[in-house]
Amino acid sequence: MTLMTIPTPDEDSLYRRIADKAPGTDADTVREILAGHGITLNTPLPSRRELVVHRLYCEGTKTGTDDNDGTFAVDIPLGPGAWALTSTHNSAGKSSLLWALSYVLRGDGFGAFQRKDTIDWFTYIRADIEVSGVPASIRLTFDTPGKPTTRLLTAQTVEQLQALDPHAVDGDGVRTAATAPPGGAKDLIDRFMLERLGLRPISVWSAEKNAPKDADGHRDSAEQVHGWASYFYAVAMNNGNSNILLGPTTTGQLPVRLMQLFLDVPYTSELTYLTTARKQVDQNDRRTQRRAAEDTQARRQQTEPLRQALAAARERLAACEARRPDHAALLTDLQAAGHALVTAQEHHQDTAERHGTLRKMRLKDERDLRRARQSSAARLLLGALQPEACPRCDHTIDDTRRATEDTDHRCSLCTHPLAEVEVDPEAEAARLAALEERLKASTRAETTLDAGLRTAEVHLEHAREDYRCAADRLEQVRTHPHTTDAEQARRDVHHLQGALAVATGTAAELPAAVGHYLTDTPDPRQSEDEPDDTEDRVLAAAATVVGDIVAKHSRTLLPDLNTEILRIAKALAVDNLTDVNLSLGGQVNAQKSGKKIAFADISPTDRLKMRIATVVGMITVGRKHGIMSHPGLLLIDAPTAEELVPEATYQALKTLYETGGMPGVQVIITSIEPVIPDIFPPHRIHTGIPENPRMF
Amino acid sequence: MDEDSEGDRFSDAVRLLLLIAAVGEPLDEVALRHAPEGAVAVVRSEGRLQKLDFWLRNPDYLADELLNDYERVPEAISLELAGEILDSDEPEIACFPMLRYLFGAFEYIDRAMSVLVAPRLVRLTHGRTPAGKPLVSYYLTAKGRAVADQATANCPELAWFTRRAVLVRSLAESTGHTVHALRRRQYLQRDYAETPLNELIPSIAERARERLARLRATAATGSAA
Repeated sequence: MTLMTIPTPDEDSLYRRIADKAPGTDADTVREILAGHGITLNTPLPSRRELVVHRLYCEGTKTGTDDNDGTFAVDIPLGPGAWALTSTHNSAGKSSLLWALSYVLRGDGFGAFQRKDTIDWFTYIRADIEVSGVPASIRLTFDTPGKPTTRLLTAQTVEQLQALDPHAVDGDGVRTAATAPPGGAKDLIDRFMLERLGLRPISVWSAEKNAPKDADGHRDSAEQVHGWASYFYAVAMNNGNSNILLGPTTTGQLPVRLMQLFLDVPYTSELTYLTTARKQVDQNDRRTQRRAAEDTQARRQQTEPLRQALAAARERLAACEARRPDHAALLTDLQAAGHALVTAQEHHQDTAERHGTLRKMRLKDERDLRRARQSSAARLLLGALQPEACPRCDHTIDDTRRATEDTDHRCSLCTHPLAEVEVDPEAEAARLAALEERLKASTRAETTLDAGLRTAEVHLEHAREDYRCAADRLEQVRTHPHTTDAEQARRDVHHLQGALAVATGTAAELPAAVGHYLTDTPDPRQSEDEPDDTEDRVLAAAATVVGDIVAKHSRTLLPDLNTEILRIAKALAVDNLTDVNLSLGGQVNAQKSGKKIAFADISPTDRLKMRIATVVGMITVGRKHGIMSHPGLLLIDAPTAEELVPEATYQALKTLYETGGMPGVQVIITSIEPVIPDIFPPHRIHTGIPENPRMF
Repeated sequence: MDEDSEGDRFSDAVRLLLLIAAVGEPLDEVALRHAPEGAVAVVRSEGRLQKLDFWLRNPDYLADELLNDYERVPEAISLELAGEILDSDEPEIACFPMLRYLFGAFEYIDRAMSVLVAPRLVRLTHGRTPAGKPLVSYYLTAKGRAVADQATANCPELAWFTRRAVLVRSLAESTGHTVHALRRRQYLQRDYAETPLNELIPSIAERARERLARLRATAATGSAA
């Protein structure tokens, strides 16, 4: 199966596949969440990346040399194919020229090419290039060392640019596409190269410098975005001591990501962003949990004085309780006295009511008897008097009418017949006697109950006294210092329990009613909504789905790449290399003489050759699958510097020259090897100043 | 009253006789010239007679007025007299409750008065006040005085009326003899004033007894001081 035959799901089906792995979501939700993280899973299109340098022009002033100070200008025509910057002497300026080229292509000098004593010499660097078919001339002017101003020119053809004088910016078909102030070269060139080469940055989750590890071994990390400057490690190589196969760091499996990127493995960049997003979310969660744990710890520390005070108050309460007099018995006595008082009050009230009733009866009898006696006396006094005058007209009643009253029993005043009412003294006496007896009886009854009422009053007074005494005894105990101390200690305990409950938000030690109130009252510290893990699940599902695609494509390509690396490395005269098995984790898994050997344990020269083999392998595998995912440019500083065997040197240089002969490939090397003219045609060798070992 | 209305008529009559005998103003020479034959004293105005009769019939109000007098002029005799009434059951057994009418305590006394007028114990005259209002004057005759004295002397049950009527007279003298002065004084009694028309004026015995106790306590404190 080849890369082209591996099916890549279209955009919609990819979103659906992710949604299927994140239950409760749909494709739109997935799309929305990923877009929130700046991730769009557009269906990848075939790329055609090509970077060719047609001209390198440098100006400057040399200082600090033994005998060569002064201005210089170097104009090197270049183009597709292999090129050698060569001199038979060291420190001739080969690497400095390669550094200058790297600066203008990268926006920043490639560190491995840098020669500290020469970098300040350069005042102007120009490279005329083609980037994926677009002609461009990049001009760097170093008014301030390390902070050049940048001008980017474009034209219809690269020849129009090449025709311009070294500093000319105007010409037929030429226009200034962009400029950048001092310090802005890297951003401008990064943006230009990524855009023209159709590359997306790679996101790497990297630990922050000096960040401490938490209990689970996690360190605070931050996203590092790798752009063209990092991708340049697949362009520029030297015989350095780096232990990394490709790229500036192994963090985030950057070497393998670069390989995947330059093998056009779909969704490579997106996968790095997904991975970073997940780690970002995880870190946020960990930070949230850590903050919560720290808050809890802080609260606990804050409340520790409360806990200690509560414990002390409890001890004090226990001591006071042990000392205080037992007033349970006194309470019982008071309760009994209270019951007795109530009973006495009820009995007294009942007796008093009955006594009141009897008194009323006696008073009525006495009133009746009194009125009867008064009435009887009045009748006797007034009834016997003879009428003398008419009460109406006051005329005197004469004797005739009085006689008529006696004889005819007619009223001497109105002459009406007198009623036959005779006062019977005996009956009257009997009536009075009856009233007297009735009064005696009611008086007797009242008198009898008088004693009962007095007894009830005495009992009631005794009950009141008993109750007062019991209350006094209890009060004495309650106001006893031991008791007041205990009550104060109990209040302290209650206050501290309440304060601790409020401070900690727990109501375990409070009465249920109070505790319910406290726990029913929302605590602002705990009122945050339950975390929604939809985002986590979508990111995880997306990482899985996209990771599967990346892994599947990578596994298809890696065997071919391993084969190519092994073949090219041998062609570059790497000693005894018997196997290479790149893993998705970024391990080289090399074997020398049939034994596994760590990449770091390989000699620097062979490591460089392995890097060259890897990049060239990527190019050849890509070409084999019909893609041009690597720009095709290789800048190699002293590829055989450490080589001791002349045959091996020759083989390596010849392989590099032949590599430059591949379509769309440009190889620029520096070398002091005398065999260069035997391998490179003269027009592909730049030797600098004629009859002078210096390059400029 | 309930059992023998005839007897009550005589009872009311003898009470009025003893009241008039106690509070009646003696007649001077001028008054004698305008008085009916045989008159020795007079009570002018039925309203005044009714007001004085109210105190005679309600010992609790009489005692309360004595306490009022004591508060105005703290003479021990007032407290003693009030105590004589209130310490006993007199307010309950000697009372004859009255209705409240338009101008205060009132009861028709015509029938009872006829018992006194027919044997000429009391003689009535009908005149007019200087303001032109009808004025009834109740003249006690010498015969009436003799019967009153006889009742007081020989009938202990009736002598009580005379004793209390004397107290009533002293109250009337300190209050003023006009019917308006008496009515104003009686209206100062809260229970009296608040009694609805045509209803029995209630007893104030318990309140008067509590008041007596307070005044006695105050008097004791004052004496001790």
